[in-house]
Amino acid sequence: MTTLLSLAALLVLVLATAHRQPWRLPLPAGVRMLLVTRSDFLLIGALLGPFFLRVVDTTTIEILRPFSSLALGFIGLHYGLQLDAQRLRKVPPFYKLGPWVQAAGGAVAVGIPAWFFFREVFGTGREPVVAALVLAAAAACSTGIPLEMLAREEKYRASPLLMMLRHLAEMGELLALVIFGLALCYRHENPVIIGWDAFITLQWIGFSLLLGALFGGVLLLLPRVGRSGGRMMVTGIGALLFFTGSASFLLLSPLFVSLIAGIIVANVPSESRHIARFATRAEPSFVLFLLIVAGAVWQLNAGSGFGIWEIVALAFVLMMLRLIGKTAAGWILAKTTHAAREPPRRFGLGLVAQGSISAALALDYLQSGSTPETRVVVTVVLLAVLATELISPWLILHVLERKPRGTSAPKAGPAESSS
Amino acid sequence: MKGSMNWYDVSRSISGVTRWALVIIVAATGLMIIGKTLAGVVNTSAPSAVIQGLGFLLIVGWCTGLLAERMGLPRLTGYIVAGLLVGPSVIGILESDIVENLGPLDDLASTFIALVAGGELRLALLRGHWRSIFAWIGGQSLAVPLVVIGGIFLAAPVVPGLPAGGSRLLAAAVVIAAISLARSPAATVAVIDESNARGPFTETVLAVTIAMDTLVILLFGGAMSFAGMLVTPGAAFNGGIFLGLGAEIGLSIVMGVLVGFLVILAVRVMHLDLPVLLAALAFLITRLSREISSVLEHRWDVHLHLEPLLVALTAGIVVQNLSRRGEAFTEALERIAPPIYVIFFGLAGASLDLGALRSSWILVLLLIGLRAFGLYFGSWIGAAAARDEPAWRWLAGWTSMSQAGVSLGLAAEVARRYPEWGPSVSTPLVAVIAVNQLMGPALLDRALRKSGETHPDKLDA
Repeated sequence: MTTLLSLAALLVLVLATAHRQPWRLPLPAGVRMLLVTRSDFLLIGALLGPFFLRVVDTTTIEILRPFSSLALGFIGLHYGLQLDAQRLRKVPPFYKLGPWVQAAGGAVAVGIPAWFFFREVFGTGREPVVAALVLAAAAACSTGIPLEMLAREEKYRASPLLMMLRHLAEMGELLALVIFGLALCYRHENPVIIGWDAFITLQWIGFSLLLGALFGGVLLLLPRVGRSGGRMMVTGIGALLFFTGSASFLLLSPLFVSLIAGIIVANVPSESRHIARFATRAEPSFVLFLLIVAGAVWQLNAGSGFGIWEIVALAFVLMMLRLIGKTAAGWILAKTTHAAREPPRRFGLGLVAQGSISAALALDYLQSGSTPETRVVVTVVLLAVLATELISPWLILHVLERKPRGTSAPKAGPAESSS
Repeated sequence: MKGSMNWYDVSRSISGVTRWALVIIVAATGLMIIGKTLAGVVNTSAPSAVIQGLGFLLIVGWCTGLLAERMGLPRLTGYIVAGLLVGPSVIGILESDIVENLGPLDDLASTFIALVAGGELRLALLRGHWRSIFAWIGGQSLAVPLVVIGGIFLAAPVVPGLPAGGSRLLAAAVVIAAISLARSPAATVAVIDESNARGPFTETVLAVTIAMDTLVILLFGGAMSFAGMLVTPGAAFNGGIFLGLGAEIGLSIVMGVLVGFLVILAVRVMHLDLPVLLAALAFLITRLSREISSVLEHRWDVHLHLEPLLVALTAGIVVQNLSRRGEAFTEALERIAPPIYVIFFGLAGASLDLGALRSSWILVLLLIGLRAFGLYFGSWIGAAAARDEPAWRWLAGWTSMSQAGVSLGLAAEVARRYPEWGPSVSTPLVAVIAVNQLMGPALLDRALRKSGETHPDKLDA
């Protein structure tokens, strides 16, 4: 009966809250942010999961696995579809470099200490490196949703700084997904081509890219056998399941493979709108679903070999390092920028919220195999997602209230054209 | 240079959709083979293989469905053929363990299709056609047993494979006759849905199919008891079996009504998203029926098995006919139905065992012929008795040929209950069901088109 009850509980939750509009709820900004990004579903999932109430059991999680793979595929594809080269070419130089520096700031600040830590605790080998890279990838992520929430307010609607932050957040996630995809390739010890033992990681990277390219190719073919919503839904879901399944089957990242496919599709304008329509229609429900599953598989310290407070302390330390890394990267950018209106030096604080992509990375990592390292990574990432979203509104407001260091009116940022 | 057509010319001569469907099938199959080759060098993850297999089945099934459509066949036939070709019986890209692991999804899909079947049944449209429904059911219920039992007895001396001995032969014939009455509501509803058929003929076909499928459960129970009486010395006919089966059917209907009202309430009060609700509902009905049966058995020693298909079917009928949002309900069902049809019928194709067809093809052909004649003859008599228009009389028989899961379950039950002679009946029956599963949808599709009640494809809207 447990499985049944858990499914019923999940169903009621998803249905009752699927259409909520928390933008204007009279709640503290941090809590409102959790509702807007839907990260509260992480908490709900965790509460229902085997670690707390045990309403969602491991059997249910296994039954739901095809759907979580589908969710990962949708997230990667949806993200990739936004990376249209034509649009990105129009971006001013600062906007091109900024996201990479920002994302790298967070990734380096977390990845290197995490690697030392994992090597000390779990010994040498590939897995500690992979775990550190996954944490670095998650640290590189910044969600633009808190910025979108603020952009709805009259006061900040036309703020160029807000637009710039949104662009930095959007593009920074690309680096995160790339790091993550490469990390899973590094995990492989056997070559793709039997007998050729050199450049094993490179072989797998090449294979991931090839799989993503083939996925993109198949997606581009799909509208030729039916462009209507109904037909695209069948073939699109089929292709997503097939390629995310193939990626997981070969212990590669479904997120990364779908991202490559999305980028390829986004750059074939004649067909991309049919696929984008399909992805946009289905993606929100799947993100919601993914957050609940990610919460349900989260078991705090279980299987990691750490006590609860030890792991919370680790998460706190890494979160602080990320904050420093992001702020430092922002400071470097602000110092070196030659934009008409220079951003405040601490604008990196506006990019602290991690968002659902990092939760997706953690879930993808966990699905590729459960080890003590994966358990630590999942807990650290999910705690960081919740904590950063709680504090992010205040940090963003802190950045926005600062006076800009230039006087002349800025040109419209890329986020403006994209939104 | 007419004789030297190269590959390019051949590909140009094939129409757009057909060409691209073929390209996608070849690409997906190639990738699947590459994946399997690479699986030798990495530690593959078994659950991912199932997800990959499911995606493969969806893509290849859908594209084969499109090819079938171009050939004038229902898409459904394409899904089954695709499943059969890639399944363990033929090429084997989808291995038997993957097909087995997709079992829970198959159950979910069949419950969902039952929900669609209920949702498609508009009682208002049946007004004035009740006489036809009863007459068709009556005609088929009389003609099929007569033709099948009579035919088996006449052919027994010359056709190999039938059980020897008068009482065993009669027992086998009675059981085969009961199973011959079973048809596939899933195939019927999928063909109706995909051909977008609407009208009194379509509604009558659907109502007869659904009613017969419920009636078959009772008739099969009776036939099994009668067979037991014939072959087991000292055994008597167990009339109580009807009471038990009737209680199961009644309980399933009551539960279906409850679920239906809950759905109406959920939609009206909570303004829920229908497609999501329906997909989840199918899951819940499937699991709930099993859990309740298990609780009844283990806690109170009551052996009542709730039939999820009947629960879903009743719920669908209640929502369609007793709420104002019946049409929205059907639309939502139809919106999410296509991938579910591909999975369900693709898996049905992949599970087909062609070995049985090879081993006893004469008996298989005989049983297919007897069943088809009995159904056609019975439907014709029924339609004539109900004074249906002449076109209906000629078409009615073609609408009930398909068979699927329920029939397979009943055939397996015969082998389990009567191990001495059951397998000699169930093995050819499996092959008969396989052939009917392939032919039935095409015949139904043709009949619906001839009735003039089909419309352009909704998926293109």
